[in-house]
Amino acid sequence: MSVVLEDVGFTYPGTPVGVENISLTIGAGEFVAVIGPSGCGKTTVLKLIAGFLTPDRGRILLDGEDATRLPTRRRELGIVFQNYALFPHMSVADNVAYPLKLRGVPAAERRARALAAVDMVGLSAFAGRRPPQLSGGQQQRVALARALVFQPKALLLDEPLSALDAARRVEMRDEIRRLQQAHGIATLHITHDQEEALSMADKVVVMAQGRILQAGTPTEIYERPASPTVAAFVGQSNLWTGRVRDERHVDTPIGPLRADLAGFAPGSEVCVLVRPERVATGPSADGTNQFSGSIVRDRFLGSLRRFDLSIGDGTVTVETKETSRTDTIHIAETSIQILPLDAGQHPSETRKQ
Amino acid sequence: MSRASAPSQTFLLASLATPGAICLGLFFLAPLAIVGVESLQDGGGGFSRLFAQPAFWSGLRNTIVLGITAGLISVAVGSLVAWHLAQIGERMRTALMFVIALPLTFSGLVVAYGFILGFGRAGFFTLTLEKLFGVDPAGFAAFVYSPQGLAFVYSYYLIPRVVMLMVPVLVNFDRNQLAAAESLGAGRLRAIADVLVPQVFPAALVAFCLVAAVAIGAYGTALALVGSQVNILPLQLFTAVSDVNADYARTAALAMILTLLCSLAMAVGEAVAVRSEVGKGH
Repeated sequence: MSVVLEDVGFTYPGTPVGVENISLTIGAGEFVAVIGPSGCGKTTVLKLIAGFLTPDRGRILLDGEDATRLPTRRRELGIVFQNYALFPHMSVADNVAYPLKLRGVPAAERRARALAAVDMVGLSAFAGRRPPQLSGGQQQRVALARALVFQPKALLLDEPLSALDAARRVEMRDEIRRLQQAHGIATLHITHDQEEALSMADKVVVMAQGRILQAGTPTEIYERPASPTVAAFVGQSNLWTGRVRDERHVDTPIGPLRADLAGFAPGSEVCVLVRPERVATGPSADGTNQFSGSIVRDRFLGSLRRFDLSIGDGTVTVETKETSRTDTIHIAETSIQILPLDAGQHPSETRKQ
Repeated sequence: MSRASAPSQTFLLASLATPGAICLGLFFLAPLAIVGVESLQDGGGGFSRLFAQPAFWSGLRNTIVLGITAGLISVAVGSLVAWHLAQIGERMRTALMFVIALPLTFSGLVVAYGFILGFGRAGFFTLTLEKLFGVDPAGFAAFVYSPQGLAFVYSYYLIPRVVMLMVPVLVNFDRNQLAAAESLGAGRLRAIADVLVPQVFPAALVAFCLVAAVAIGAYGTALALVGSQVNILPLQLFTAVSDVNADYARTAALAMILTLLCSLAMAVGEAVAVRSEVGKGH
């Protein structure tokens, strides 16, 4: 079962807000995470797939069939809402049995299947309780069981972990992935948490201002971002505006860097990306791309340390496991990525912390 | 709070409650007790004489029918108004609720005269309907002066009460639940029936009990509108206390029956409210 969006566009009536040119495929058993800043249109995409909104343009295919104008109730999609949207007047078992009841499943079979689904999410002991009597994590499990019990064509998750505390969130990531893989179901996961997206998804889609900026595997998105915006949104990054000096050198606020600038015309402005964990502490063997500065900010993050080094007119963020303070760093050529500037953008030392 | 301050806190709370307690005692418990004692004079003969009158029983039936009819109309209309209010912006909702609550400040007599001016034989709406559609003014106005018309008029100031009770419930209702039900396979009406109605029903029942109790006990509007043409217990009571030769024991018994009816309706509402709170399992 797959979900395909073909050049879908939607504008909220009376506003310029919406999504444009959304083309996306969620293959059978694939887990796709959509990330982006608030208001980028990621929830709109989910609502379009769910049928809560109807596209102005383009087509939505569910399992190969045009579902663009199909009512929500006929789409056979399991949806987990941000606040779970459980029915507080029904028990856990009745909540999970509800979609089966709507499909005319006989009472005995309905109950058996609902209890099996409740058991699948480890809540057998809570089957008779009502949602308000459960913790956030338990409610989330019930919502998952309810969304999966009728074997939907696809699973849509609308920021389901955002209401949980940090520890529970990490635990539920694994739980959701386990259930998704066990059912082999195409899944769309909407989140603003890049770490969540990178750790769970087979494919990550980055959105901004109603458009898809880049789609790819988590490694592709992180290692080879298509634009400074993607680089800034996904992971920590040092982003500097640089001017190409020649094929081997670029001038940046921290000083000239030796890098591979093939394809960029001398004198043109580019965006220079270096991930903080790719910045090495101490001097380099031959002095290439070696800089010294003063530490302006130092943060202990448990397993590693992140500090900002003021160098020239810029700042370099460094992540290291070393605990000793150092004011000298070097950047390997292979750790430097040159990106074209976003249209209309002049990041001039844009950094995402 | 320290232990040492507990007695002074208790004293403060008692001081604050005292004026209310005095008012409750002087203007509710004492008169009720006096009427109760009066009704039991000559060994409860007042009740016997009351129950022996066919007019009492028809009045009781009419009063209950009026309470239920006015309650149902008010809950139906009030719930729809509340549903609409729950869906609009907060500022507009606040403004509209202010307007809707205005009838609560009117006396029953004012409401009655307002309806006479609007729907009486020479009322604005009656004459407009006659001009536009040739509706007979006498026939149309007769409706306002009937028991059904009385229920209609009562709804004028009962609907705001329902709206006030239902709006918070509907505002707090998570509409994602309806979206969830639809995504699970329910049509819009089925989602409303399975998800919304069970959750707002207790509040609607509480509102019904409250407005039914108000309708059962109200007499000002009825008196101004229909005089003694409609046989309901509040008007029987008014006629009895206005009579200098009244049978006070029988009148007190009538008052107690009316109090019992209203209290019963309120008690059912309270029981439903408590049960609903317990059922939520918080």
